[in-house]
Parts: sequence; structure tokens; C-alpha cells
Amino acid sequence: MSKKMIVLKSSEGVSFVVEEAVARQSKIISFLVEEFPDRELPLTNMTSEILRKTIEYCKKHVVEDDGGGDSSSSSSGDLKEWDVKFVAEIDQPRLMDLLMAANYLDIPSLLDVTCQKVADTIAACNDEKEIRATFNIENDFTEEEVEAIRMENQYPI
Amino acid sequence: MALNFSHRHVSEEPMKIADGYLAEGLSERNGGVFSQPWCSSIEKGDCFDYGANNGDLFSQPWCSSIEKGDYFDYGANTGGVFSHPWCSGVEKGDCFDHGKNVGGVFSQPWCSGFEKGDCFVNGRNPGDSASVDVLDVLPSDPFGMDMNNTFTAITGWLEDLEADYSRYGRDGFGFGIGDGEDNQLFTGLSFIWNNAMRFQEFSESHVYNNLSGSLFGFGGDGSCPRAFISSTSEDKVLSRVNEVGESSDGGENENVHPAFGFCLYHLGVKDLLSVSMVCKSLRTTVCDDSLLWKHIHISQPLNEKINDEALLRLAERAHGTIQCLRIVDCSRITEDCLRKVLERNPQVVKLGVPGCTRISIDGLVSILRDLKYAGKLQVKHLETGGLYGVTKDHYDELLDLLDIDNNVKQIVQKPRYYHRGYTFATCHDVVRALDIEMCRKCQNWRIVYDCPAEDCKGKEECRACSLCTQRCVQCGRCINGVYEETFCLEFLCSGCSKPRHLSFDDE
Repeated sequence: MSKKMIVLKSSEGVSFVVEEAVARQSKIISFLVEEFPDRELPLTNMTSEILRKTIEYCKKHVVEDDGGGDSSSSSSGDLKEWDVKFVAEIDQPRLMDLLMAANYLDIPSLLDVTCQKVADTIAACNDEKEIRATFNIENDFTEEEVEAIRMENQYPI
Repeated sequence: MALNFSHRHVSEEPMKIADGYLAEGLSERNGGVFSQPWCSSIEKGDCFDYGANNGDLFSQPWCSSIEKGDYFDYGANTGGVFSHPWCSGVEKGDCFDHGKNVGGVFSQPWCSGFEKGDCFVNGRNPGDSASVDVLDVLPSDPFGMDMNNTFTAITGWLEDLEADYSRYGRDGFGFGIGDGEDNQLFTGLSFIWNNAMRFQEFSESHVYNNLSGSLFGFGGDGSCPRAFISSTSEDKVLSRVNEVGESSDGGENENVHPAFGFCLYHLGVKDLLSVSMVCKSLRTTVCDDSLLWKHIHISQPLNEKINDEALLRLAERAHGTIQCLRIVDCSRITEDCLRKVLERNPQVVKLGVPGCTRISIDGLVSILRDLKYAGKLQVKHLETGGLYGVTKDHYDELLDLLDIDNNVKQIVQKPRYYHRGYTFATCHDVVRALDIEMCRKCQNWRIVYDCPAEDCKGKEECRACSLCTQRCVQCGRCINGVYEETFCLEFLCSGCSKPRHLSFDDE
């Protein structure tokens, strides 16, 4: 039985053809597929790169409901390892975009895994300066505000 | 004691005050600015923003010794600030507001350290321009009231300062105990002895709370829209300031990736605090989102620094929604503080106080008992960390308080192994209803450990508390035969001590 394919289009207009089961891990796409069958789905807020990554994740995590067994049937332990490797290979800005994509497409497991990775990165920073450097955030506190917070922190919090 | 009452009406124009304070009016209709330089070593500037018809700026940088800046928040049509610097070491903050449609500032130098013309601005009567010498334009009785009476009342009130949770209402021009009225304002109270006292007058009826120390006051019937202020809500002040700042800056810090917000839920208390210092928008996010503070787990390295006040302030951020409270090795947290936190957070399901030396089993049981009677006890998992001196009475009462059926409890538990650091556990690791049980060897209620050694598994012989059975600090197995005693008088089994020797040899 031939599998139904779905076409996803990134913001650059690049089309990706994926199996329906893969794409349906996104609740949004799942909904769209039902509403608009046989149509190309434009994902205008997603670059090809991010979309490719998302599809890669979905392909790995697809659960075949027909025929059961050996889809990409890795045990949950392997899958977790793969997830860790998957997010470890992505650099910071792209990881953030991937997180936003996971949120937008409503893929809870991907959202979880990316959030955890970013949270771990934050937790690995020793202080706020390191966080600013890591995530490239500008310090917009004035001297007085910093002082006020520091006073507060003597409590220590 | 000499009294000077200063009062003047000014226009809403921004105004610069001699001491180098810039005061800017905020709102169109009621812009009042109140700014005051206090001592040379000023460390704090706070800004306050008020309700719809009342834009007041209240800037109050004062002496370095002051620990608490208070923030005042007002209802729709009223607004007043009363700042009250008294003496250096005082920690109380207060605010009240007075008068009917009277805009006035009332200043009262108490001691010599106060300079008269410091700054009083009040926007109510546009048209009066600011004049150079404040005293010239100050009527002796700015509010049309009998100042002597008021002063008597104020004096009496000062004497009552130590009373916690006292709430005063004033109708017309007299101070008195009042209860909730529609326009009540609840505000924090700030005193700094040694300096001066100022009033700013506004309309309608008034209430102020006298909040002392780390206590919080809650007032009234909630009819006043933004009316609860606590004296420890500096974070709120800051976040409020941030909001003001942001709105003037035109929105969020664009550097912060929107994805950041999602990750905050995966962070612990320490990291949240770090994040809150990164930039303004993150600070606002972290401080205002009560969901982030549903699980408060304090361990290394915060545990050494955190005291009652800090914990209360942290708990405040959850707005009463804490579900899991776990404070590990926090030797500065008292039973009083724990009681307050639990009273304000009736949804706490998991409670852990391992290693908190100031919390005794008696205190803990009594806190839980009182909560139960008040109908506020939801705690289902209690981690005592093996408090000293648990008796059968304590144990039975705890079982009763936590609604534990003793028989069912035995079944569901997975084995627990001895390890140096129970501190490593997270909120999610607290699965047992109660972590203590009776040690079969000494008949005391302690934490009882299972043995991970293969040949001991399933046997009851070495299942005992840490006093009855010596265990390896690394793997938790019972020690029989060869062992090594570490420098800290802990034991290492033969299996765990070998690698250590090797590493020493390498060095």
C-alpha cells in the first residue's frame, strides 16, 4: 500500500515531501491535513534548514501503527540517546529556532527535548554574565538597577 | 520636637530640584512627583507608577543602611505617598494617603539631618508654579485640618510601630482603626528614623498597613484594584519599574529569543535567579510568572545563604501556588518561616526539610497539625530527612496528618540506598509519603536503608537505620569485613576504596 505523502513548503519556497505518518506528529499539520487534503502546506515562518531538522526528528520518532514492529523501532533508551545527540549537534541559535518550530508545529516531544537542552545550557552558566554571553543578550540594566538588585541579593535573593 | 509642615502645589511640569533630583510627572491628570535625596551614599532609586488617574513618581533613594524600599500602589482615583525616613536602621516602610482632593505634601523634619527644601511635589492644583523657597508657599495647615490633633495621632502611632499587622483607617482627618471601605488603600510603610516624615495628601478614605519585618499584611475586601503591597516586595517594585521602563523603551528586549521563555520551566531556583539578572525583560518574566515558582527546591549552593526573609520573598513570587517545597540543609530557615510559607501556600503537596537544623519534629508536627485544623493541609509527601527525636506519638500523628494507611504504605516502596547526598534528589524523587519508619534493630523512627549488595538483597538482616548498620558512603552497602575509614570518619567498603587508592598512587 503506498503511503500518502504530504508536501511542506518552507519560507524559502523549498518543498519537502514527507510521509503522512511522519508529518502527523505535528498536531497542527495533522489538523491541516484533515482540513485541506491534497494541498501543499506552506510553513512561512520556518526556514528550510529548520524544517529539515524537524522532519529528521519526526522521521526518527514516527510510530508505525500498521504492521507494527520494525519501523525505526529503536527502544526508548536508544531513542533518548539519539535525541541527546540530535540536539547536541545543533548550534545555539538554530536550537532556539528549532524550539520555536516545535512549539509552532505543536510537537510536544521535540519541544521538550529542545527546552531541556537550552535549560541545561543555562544551568551550565555560572552567572548572569555568562548567560548573556552565551545567548548574546544585551545587558539593559542601568548601574542603579544593578546596584538595587545586588542589594536585594544580599539577602541573598 | 519641632515640626515643620511643608506643603506646596505645583504644576505638572517636570521639575528639577535643587539637590540634583530630577522629577518628572507621569500622568496627565494627576502627576505628582516625589523625589528625595537622603544621604550622600544613596544606593537605591525606586520608581513607582500608579493607577489610572494618578500618575505619581516616587523616587526615593536613601541611605545605604536602608534595607527596604517600599512601594506604593493605589486605587483608581486615589493615590498618596507617605514616606517616612526616620532613623538610620529602620526597616519599616509605610505609605498612606489622605485628604479629599487635596494635594499636599507634609514634611516633618525630626532631626537635624533633614534639609527643608528637599523636594515636595504634588500635582493637584495645576497653575501654581513651583517656587524656589518651599517654605514661603507652605501654608501652616495645608489640609485644613487641625494639625495638633493629627500630630498627636501620629505620635501615638509611632509608639505603636512595633505592632504587626495593624491597619489603620482614616476618615476625614483623624487616624483611627478602620476597616475596609471602597477606596481603601493598602500600602507598605517605610520608616527611616533620624530624618523626616512626609505626607502627601490625596483623596477619599485611607488605610495603611503597618508591615513590620518580614510579615505581610493583607487588607480589606479587595475592592481596591491593585491594593496589596507587602513590605518585602521589592522584586515587584523592580518588575514594576521594568514595566515602566519597557513601555517607554517600546517593548521587549529584542535580544532575547522568544524561545527563552519556554526553557524557564525547566530551570531550578538558582538558575531562575541568574536568569532574572540577565536583562530587564527576563527579570520581569521570571519575577511575574508565578508558575515558574511552583516547585521551590533549594539546595547547594543557595542553602547556606537563604534565610527566612529570602525564602518568604521567593515564596511570594508563586502567589500561593507552590506545590512542592523542598529546602535542603537550610540551617537558617526557622519553623516560623516554614509555617508562614505553608499557610500562604495551601497547595503544597510535597514538603521536604532534610537537614534543616532549626526545624524540629515537634515544630513540624505542630505546623502540620495547625494547617490540618485550618483545612489547609494538602501535604501528601513529607521528607523529614531523619529528624532527631521522633517518637511513636509523632510518627502516628504524622501518619494521621498525611492520611497514610500504614499497611498500604509498605507495599509501594522501592528500595532506598544509603548515600552521602540525599541532597541530590529532586522534587520528583520524593515519592514516598513519609521517609521515616521504625528501624527494627533499635526500635527508633529513622530513615531505614536497604542494602544494594547482591548477597543481602531481600534479606531483612542489614535493613536498618544508618546508626545500626554501618554503610559505605559510596555505594551504600553494609560493611562487614574489610573497610576503610575516610578522613571524615565515613566508611568505604573494600570495593569502593580501591579505586581511590589507585588514584592516590597516580598522583
